[in-house]
Amino acid sequence: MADFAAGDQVRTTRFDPPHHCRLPRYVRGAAGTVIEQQGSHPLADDRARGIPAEPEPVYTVRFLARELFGSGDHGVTVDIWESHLSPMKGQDR
Amino acid sequence: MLAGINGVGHNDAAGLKSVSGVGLARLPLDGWTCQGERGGAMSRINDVGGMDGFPRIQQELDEPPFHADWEAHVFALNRALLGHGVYNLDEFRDAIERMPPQDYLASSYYEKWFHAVTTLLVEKGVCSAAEVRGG
Repeated sequence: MADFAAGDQVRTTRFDPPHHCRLPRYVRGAAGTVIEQQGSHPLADDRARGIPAEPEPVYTVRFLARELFGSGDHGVTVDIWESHLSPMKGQDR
Repeated sequence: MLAGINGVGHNDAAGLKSVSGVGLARLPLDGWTCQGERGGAMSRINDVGGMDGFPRIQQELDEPPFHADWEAHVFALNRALLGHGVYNLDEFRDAIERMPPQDYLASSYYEKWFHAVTTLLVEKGVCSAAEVRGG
């Protein structure tokens, strides 16, 4: 787990868990850019299962529409908990 | 159609399906749910962003907050139960997502809420399924 800053390149979790998950399917496994942090909040995936959760950073991440949906010149921004993000290495970009 | 949904499992809480007849038990698949009882990974029926095949959203001009009195009661009941900590908002969302896919797709907004409220009341031990059925 890492704290991210604006401009950081991140990739979302590919895993599709068998429980409540606030990471939309259309953005799973995608590469994006951190725009800004949106405070800290307990992970909804845990709260939905009665698991105690400490607040963790939530970030607005921008993706390219054409990379998610195959077309479009616009960006798609999604607020994502840090647990669903990993930093992108050089060879991953 | 349902065969395409991975990990469909049996749910023994099927007693809830006769509750007041609101949005429940519309298709002859009682007791089946997308809950991951077998532990497999899957997307739930609510997660349809980017999926093709749905009709255009119909916008209602001057839409009222509620289309029937029972909807306002469900709204108030949910706020009260959340406020008293009987369950939290994420458990509420989860309960909606655990609806059998065929019921989820056939239910209105507040029918989904009613399903979640009654499901959680039983699961949290506030009342029994029989009490929910009894009204």
